[in-house]
Amino acid sequence: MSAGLLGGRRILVVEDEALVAMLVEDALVDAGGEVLGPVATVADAVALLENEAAPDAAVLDLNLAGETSVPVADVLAARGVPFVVATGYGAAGLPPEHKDAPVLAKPYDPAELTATLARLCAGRQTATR
Amino acid sequence: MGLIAAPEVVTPARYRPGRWRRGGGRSVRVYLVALVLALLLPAWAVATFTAFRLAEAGREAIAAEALETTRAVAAATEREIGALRASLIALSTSPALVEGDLARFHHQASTLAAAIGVEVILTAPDGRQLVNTTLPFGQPLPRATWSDGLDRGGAETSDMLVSEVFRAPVGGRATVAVSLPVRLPSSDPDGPPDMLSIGADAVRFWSQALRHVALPPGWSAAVRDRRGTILARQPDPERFVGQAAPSDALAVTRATLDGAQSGWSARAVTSGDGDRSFYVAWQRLSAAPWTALVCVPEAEVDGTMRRSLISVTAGGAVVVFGLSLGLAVWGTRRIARPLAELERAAAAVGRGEVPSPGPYAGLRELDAVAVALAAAAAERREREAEGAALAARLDSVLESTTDGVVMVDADWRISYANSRARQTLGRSGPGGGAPEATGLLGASLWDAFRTDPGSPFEAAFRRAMRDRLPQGVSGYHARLGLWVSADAFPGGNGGLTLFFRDVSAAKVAEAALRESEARLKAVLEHVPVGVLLAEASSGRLLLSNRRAAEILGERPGRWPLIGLGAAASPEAACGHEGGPEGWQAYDAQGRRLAANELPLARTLATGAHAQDEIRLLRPDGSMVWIRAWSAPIRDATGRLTGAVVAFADIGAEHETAEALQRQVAAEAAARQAAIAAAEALAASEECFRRFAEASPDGLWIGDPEGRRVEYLSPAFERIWGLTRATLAAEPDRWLERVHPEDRERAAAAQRRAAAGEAPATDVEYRVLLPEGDGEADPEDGARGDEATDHGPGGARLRWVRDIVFPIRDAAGRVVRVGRLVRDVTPRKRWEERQAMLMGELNHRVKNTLATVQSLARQTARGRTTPSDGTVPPGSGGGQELERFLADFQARLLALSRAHDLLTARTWRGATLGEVVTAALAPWRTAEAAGAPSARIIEEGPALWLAPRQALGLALGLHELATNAAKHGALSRRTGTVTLRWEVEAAAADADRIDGGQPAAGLACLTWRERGGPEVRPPTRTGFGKRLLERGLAVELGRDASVTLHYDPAGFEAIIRFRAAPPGVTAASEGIA
Repeated sequence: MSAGLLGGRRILVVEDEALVAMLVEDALVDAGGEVLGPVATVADAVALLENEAAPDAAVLDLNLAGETSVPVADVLAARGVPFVVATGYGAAGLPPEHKDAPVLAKPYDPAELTATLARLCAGRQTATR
Repeated sequence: MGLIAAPEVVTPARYRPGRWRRGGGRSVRVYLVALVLALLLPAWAVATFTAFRLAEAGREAIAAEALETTRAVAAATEREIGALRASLIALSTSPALVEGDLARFHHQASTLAAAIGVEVILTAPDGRQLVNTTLPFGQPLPRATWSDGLDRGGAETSDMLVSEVFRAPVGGRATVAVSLPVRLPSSDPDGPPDMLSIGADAVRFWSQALRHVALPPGWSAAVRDRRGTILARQPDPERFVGQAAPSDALAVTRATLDGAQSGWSARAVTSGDGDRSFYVAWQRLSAAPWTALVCVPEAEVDGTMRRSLISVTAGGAVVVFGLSLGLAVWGTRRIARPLAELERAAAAVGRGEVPSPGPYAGLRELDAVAVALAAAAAERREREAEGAALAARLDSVLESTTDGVVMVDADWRISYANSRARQTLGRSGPGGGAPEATGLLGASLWDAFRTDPGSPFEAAFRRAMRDRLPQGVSGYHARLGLWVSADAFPGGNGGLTLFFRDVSAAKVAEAALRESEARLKAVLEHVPVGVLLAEASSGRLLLSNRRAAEILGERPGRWPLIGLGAAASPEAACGHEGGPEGWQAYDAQGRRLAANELPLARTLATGAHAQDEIRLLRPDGSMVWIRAWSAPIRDATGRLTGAVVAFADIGAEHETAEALQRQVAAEAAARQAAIAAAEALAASEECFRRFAEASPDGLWIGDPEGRRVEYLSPAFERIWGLTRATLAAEPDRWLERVHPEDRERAAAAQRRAAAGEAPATDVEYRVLLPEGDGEADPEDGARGDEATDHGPGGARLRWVRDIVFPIRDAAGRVVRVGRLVRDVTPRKRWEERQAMLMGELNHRVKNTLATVQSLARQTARGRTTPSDGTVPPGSGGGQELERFLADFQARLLALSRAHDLLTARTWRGATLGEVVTAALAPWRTAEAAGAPSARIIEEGPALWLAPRQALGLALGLHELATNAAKHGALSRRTGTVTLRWEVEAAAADADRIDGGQPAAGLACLTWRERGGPEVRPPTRTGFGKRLLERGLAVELGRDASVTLHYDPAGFEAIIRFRAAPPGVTAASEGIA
């Protein structure tokens, strides 16, 4: 598989569906990443981001049990953490300031997720250097 | 004054016959004299020349004679010299002298001297005279005087010396001496010799010698010495001796020097005293340096010639002039006088007289001329008489004609004008008075005719002048105030002859006639009876009016056939038999009438009035009742020239009455109907109002420009929150309440309706109501959900559907614009809610699918975990599980993509192209990345699919692609998959007829693989095959079929289905 694609990267997972979170977690771990979370609410996500060191990237479900995760996206953007938006809505629910974030429509191929995250991390690395 | 009466006469004054100019010419006498002179003058010249030659010969003869005489003179003189020499020699040899006895010698010498009349002198060398016979011996002697001359100029021809003329010392007479040297015994023998000389007197001795020479009378002969002094002369020796010879002597001297011995002076010489002239002949002497001269008087030499010349010349001249004169006199008498007579006769002919045949000249030619002249004059007089008569006749014609006649030359100068022309053209002259006839002649036509520039007259005249063709023109001549008709004929002299006449009267009559005819026509056209006028002789119709045409119901050209006026006309009578096409006349009793029984025919036949009522069957089969009156027309003599028939459609009268009655009834009915209609309208209006007021839809009727409102329903007030009064005052207020973003759309709909562009324009827009304005919407309040009901500025927002339509009048013009306004806010809210619910549902479905995906993975994970131990990793079971997971996930994702596609379209459906793209996306990404891979080719028109069809096809295509990737064309780089779809037209047509609405045709989608490994039919039925063959056919609906071909060259699937019509909603498919 894609083991080692995310070699050692810390990825924040914000997902309220436990089974979906598991799927994401498995995929990231299989790819050699380290999973932060998963967290299911905006509050948990923000708290985790405040307490822990900034992750290399994040996977963000847009709808957290009827609650939009845009505040998390704002914090991530403020911290300079790239993130992938995973949603059942398509790109429709995202505010304009996050238009550049890659969007994966649920259900998606876990391989596609890891590939997208790897690209984001690589992009961030080149940007911070 | 007549035109021809003044023939052109060539008057002598004007006659200029070239060179024959009177006075300038020469008389015939002159020519005669000239002729004689021409003959005689040469003869005269020859005679003169001969005379001159004769005179020359005479001159030469005289010269010869003179020379001869000169020779004689010379000879005589030389003889004397010879004699003297002999004497000297004799003396010198005398013994007395030799002995020196001078006395004896003196005596001896004296004897000799006396004998010959000379003197002898002996001279010593010192000049002392020893002996001189003129003096007695012993007397003292003078010194020699001539010795000088001897010394100086003596010509020593021999031993003798000859002196020049000198004056003798003794006696002083002119003397010439000859000397001979002698030697006296006493003298010195070596010294100069003594000189013995004989002196001879010039007159007595020398001139005497010339006596014997015969001289013609008048001639003179002389001898001159070397110096030119005359020493001898005859006659008159005393007078001339010792004088200088005539001046010509010089020339003689020169000639002598030149060596000439003799000569004849070329010209006359004038003597020293100047009173005589003569020619000189000369001869040199041989014995002495002397010259003999003979002078011939000039008169004698030249006189000969002059005489002969004078006689010949003068005589000849007299003869010549005499003859000429005689000839002239004769010519005058015989020729010139008859010629003068002829001239007089010719002048008489010129004056038009007949010359009297005068006395004949006797010269044949002149007589012939005179006779011919007389004959010509007689003939001419005859012709002139004829011409005068003709001219008089023509003149009288021209003067009596009523036409004005004007002749103009090529320069438009008037050369003739008859009295009518003078009268007409002079009538309204510039000064008002008639210009003189003579004033008209020579005047320019344009001045006289006074045409306006560009008038038709001028144009026609100029055309006639230019083309040399007759031209006619007529028109109104403004200056003359007349209607003028003019003709122009080219004349022989390069000019024109113009005839013109005043046609004003004719024009007036014509106009009157036209006016009368017009009046008649007007009357005829408007009288309510038909009128026909027929000619008596032929029965031909001359006149008809409109009413006649109306009654008879045919075009005028066919009327003779009706027989009304045709009885007398054979051809009309024939035409009358024309069967169904013609007219048939019946009387009141229904009897058919023959053509000659009709009133007009009767009148033409009898000349009496006639009247009848006739029923006429017209060619078109209709019947008309007419009453006809006919009356005869007679000329001044009472002869019948025609007949007129007037007829009225009496049937029409009845019909008119009936029609009037019907009209009255109809009008009454119409009034009734109008009342009913008005009532109905009122009711209808009321009805409309009730509907309008009761309708929840707002109703607006206004003018197209939107400036005036005719009607507004209460609902409109309610929706807009504006009262009718406000909108009636300010119709634009409605637009102000429209949401700013929607205003343009709302206004455009209004404009389109006003322009009549569409039957109706359906537009939805938002209306903003200020907070608290308008009536409270009970529905609004009930729902309480106002989150989306508020616009900017806290205003309440309403969605409005506005149907704007033009209202046209009968002519199709848009006169009003109507608007039907409905508050669609609740519907809009419902739609929004619906969209939100659908999004939520979709999200849930997607989440569920993701959960299912996770469940599957987790389940599989549990099975493959090494700690579990049931299935060791790397075993066949593990691989199968991986394959299962991959297939499952791929199918799930394909289903999800189709779902996304439909969600984006709110589950109304999708196009086939979109479905293909979504289903084949995983295989496409590899292709798009540029990796070498099999190719997928899509080809087909836009085709709409219902949501269920879209989902089914997406899954089916996924299976096909998966299978191709595993076993078929997509497993090889060289493989190709061609996806082609089309709508079968025939089926589509048939369907359209069935359904009656845009129905879907039968679509055919072909999946064809090529370039893959060889295909073998599968041994068992897998999920893919089952899905395709059973599931898909059901999902695709009615008439759908799926056929799979396992062609060894490549797998092929043909999917037929009926495509959904566009716009089929999700609800109708029962998916929502």
